[in-house]
Amino acid sequence: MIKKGIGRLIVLHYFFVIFLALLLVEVIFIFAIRAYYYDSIFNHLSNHAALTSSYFQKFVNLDSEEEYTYLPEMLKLFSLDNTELQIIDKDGKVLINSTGFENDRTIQTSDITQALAGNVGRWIGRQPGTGEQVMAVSSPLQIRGEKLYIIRYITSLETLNEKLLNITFLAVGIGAAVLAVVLMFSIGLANSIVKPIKNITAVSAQMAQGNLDVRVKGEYRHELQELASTLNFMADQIVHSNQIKDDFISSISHELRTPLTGIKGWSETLSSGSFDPEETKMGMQIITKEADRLIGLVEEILDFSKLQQNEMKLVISRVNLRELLQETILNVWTKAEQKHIKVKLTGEEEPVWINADPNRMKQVFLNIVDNAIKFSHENCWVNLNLKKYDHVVEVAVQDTGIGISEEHLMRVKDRFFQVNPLNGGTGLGLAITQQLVELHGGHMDIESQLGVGTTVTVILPLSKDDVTETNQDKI
Amino acid sequence: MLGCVILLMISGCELTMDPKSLMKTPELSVDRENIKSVITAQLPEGSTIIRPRDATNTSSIRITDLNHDGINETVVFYETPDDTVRIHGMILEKKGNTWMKQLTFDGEGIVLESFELKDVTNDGKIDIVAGYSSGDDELQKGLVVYTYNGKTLDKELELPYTKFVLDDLNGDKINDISVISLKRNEYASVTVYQYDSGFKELDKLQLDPYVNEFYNVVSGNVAKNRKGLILDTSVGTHSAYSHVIVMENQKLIDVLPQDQTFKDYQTYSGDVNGDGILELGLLETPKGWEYVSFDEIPWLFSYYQWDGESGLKFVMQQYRDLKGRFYFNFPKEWYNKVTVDPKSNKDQYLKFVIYDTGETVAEIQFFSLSQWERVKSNWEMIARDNDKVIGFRSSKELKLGTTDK
Repeated sequence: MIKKGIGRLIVLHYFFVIFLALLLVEVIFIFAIRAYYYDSIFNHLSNHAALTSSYFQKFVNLDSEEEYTYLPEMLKLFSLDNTELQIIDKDGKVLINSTGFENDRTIQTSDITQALAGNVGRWIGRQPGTGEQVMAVSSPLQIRGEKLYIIRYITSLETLNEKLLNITFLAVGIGAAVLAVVLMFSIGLANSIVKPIKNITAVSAQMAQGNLDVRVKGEYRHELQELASTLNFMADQIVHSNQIKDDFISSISHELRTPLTGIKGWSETLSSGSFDPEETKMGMQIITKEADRLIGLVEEILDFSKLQQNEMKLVISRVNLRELLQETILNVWTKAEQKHIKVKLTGEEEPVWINADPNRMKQVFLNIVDNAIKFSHENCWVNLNLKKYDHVVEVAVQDTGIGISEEHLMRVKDRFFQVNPLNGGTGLGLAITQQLVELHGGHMDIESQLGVGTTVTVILPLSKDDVTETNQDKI
Repeated sequence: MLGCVILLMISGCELTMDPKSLMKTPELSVDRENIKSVITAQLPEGSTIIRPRDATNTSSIRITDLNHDGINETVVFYETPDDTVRIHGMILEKKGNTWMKQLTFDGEGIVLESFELKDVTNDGKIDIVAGYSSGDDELQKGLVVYTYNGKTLDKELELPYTKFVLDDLNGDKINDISVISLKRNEYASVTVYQYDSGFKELDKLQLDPYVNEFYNVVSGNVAKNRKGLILDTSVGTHSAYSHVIVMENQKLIDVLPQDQTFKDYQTYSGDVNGDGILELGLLETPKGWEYVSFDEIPWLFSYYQWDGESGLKFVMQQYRDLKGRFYFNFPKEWYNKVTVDPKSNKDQYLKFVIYDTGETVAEIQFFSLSQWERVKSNWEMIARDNDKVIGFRSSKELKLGTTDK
């Protein structure tokens, strides 16, 4: 009927819960109805017995000693419509009954026992002989102090049981109807859950086959909405990273091609000979420079791939960060001079010791300072500020350059991202820098405002010795 | 939702049916139902089935094999108030699975006094013994014995009687009929008839006719393995005595002299203690009341059995209200030791004390209904009528209704 799956599961759950609830309610209902009917009849009979007994004791004078002379009178007095009446002595022997037939047996049902104990007894069972289900109600009647009679009414429960059976059928019928309605509802409900899931599945299958243009369309609710938008977002992201990758490939091929073109051109020119040594020297220098650039590029890519695969090995030693920064400034001096940019180191005068791979650390700061210079206008300054805290050291590289817009700021640390892909480079620099800092247990932040400048803050843990040293100093 | 549905169901017309209206008289067994419907169909219009007025078996429809042919017959008496012959009998016989009317017969008189089915002709066939009366207790009643041979019903015996008893007085394992006849101040007799190709008189015993009535006649064992009759006879205004009559060598004997069974008020003989032997009751004045006015004495009732010779032996004792409102049996320890305190009044307050020690063992008090409400936690109700309740209290944790047997 319903295919295996979440839909069927939902329907079955519903069905089961409702079925169980219905079953309980119906069982309770039927028992209550049964008890109500039986109790009503029992009360009717016992009330009649009690009222008549009271009347009998108050007003009927037994002037004869011989019970068989007043038994027919008692029978007449106590008789009740739709019942068989028996008057029984305390041994359970029927003295007289309303059928007119002989009293053929001694009665030993539980109602007699109860009546003998002074209570109104009730017994429900099958009438011997006919097998008819009957209720017998026995009420004790004490007369003249010591004479005990039992007034026993027997009424058939067949009509009542038939009625109860009808009610039961009705209740079951209504239960079934309710169940059917609930089932229909639950199928609708299951569909409302299953259909969107199916849609989403179909869309994601298309996505898996490479069709990233499709999107989950339509209004969904709650978790399904989240799922749909997450899926859409994922597709967007995939498209986006594909874009980045494509950009990277095109820029890297461009990057690789430019020096290769230079190398190829000069090597061809040189191999044709007939150049003066001056010219040859310049050609060789260019070839070397372009090869260096290629090596730099490849190394950057290698680093990145190493970082990606967690294969970067750090050679940790105790490094004086201040000295390292000073070296960095020296390295970029020429470049800065060309743009008339001043690079200063401020802050902490004392050596600041950290545990780090000096080469990698230098790579980090070279990259940051290089970027700062690269994106600064001429005649500006770049400031490196070193500040020591209890357990960490903070290096803030501040420039007054072009800055980065807010939307790009979030993504500058992404690999392959370049604000302007035409500028050259791989877009890997900051990504590598960030990962290296993190590899050292540090943390890197970029704050920037378009047109005002950028501050890159690197926080690194201090070497333990340095911490103790400082603490000792403090003491 | 479910609750609503169920509420709807309950409030719906289907279920508001009064449970009482669903009650039904239990069905009789198929056979009895069948008999009843056949009888109802066969009864003339305006007639009703009647019960005998005075019999230990109060049923009106009796089923037995009358002619000893292995097939049951049903005998029923009915009354047609508008006919000249008012009482009729009907015999049905089972034919296959249904019952067929075999015959109807006319009864006598206007009241069916007795109706018994017993083999009194000693032929293995059950006879119908019916007693009819004119409705006047002073007049003689008519006893008729019918035999049924499968086709017709024959009268074997017709006798006038005052009381009759079916028993085996001479002990020859053959039922006989003892007929007691009384015409006040003229004659009184007990006659025993037995069937021997026609009913024959075995013996006849003349009794004192100067009595009011034989107000209670019982038959059965009067001593161990001795069959006999006890005739409670009333004399004077409220006195009585009892005849104990047994048969010895086919002769009826009144075994006890009148003065030995004489009592100032009527007592009823019968098997009071349920031992299978009949007792006769005598009245005893409780000790301390010997000089009190006759009407005020709270009589103790003592029951005796015939000792087989010429005496009586004590069996049990009880207190019995002479107005028939209550009685209670004394426990064994009290016999002949308990008296009623002289300050008692039998219509207000009775205190039972051990005569030797004066210890109170039980009290009976008459309360108005409002008094009873206040004291009912301390008293056990022994009887009540429209304006008073009679309460019982015992120091011996004696419970009423437990000392019967």
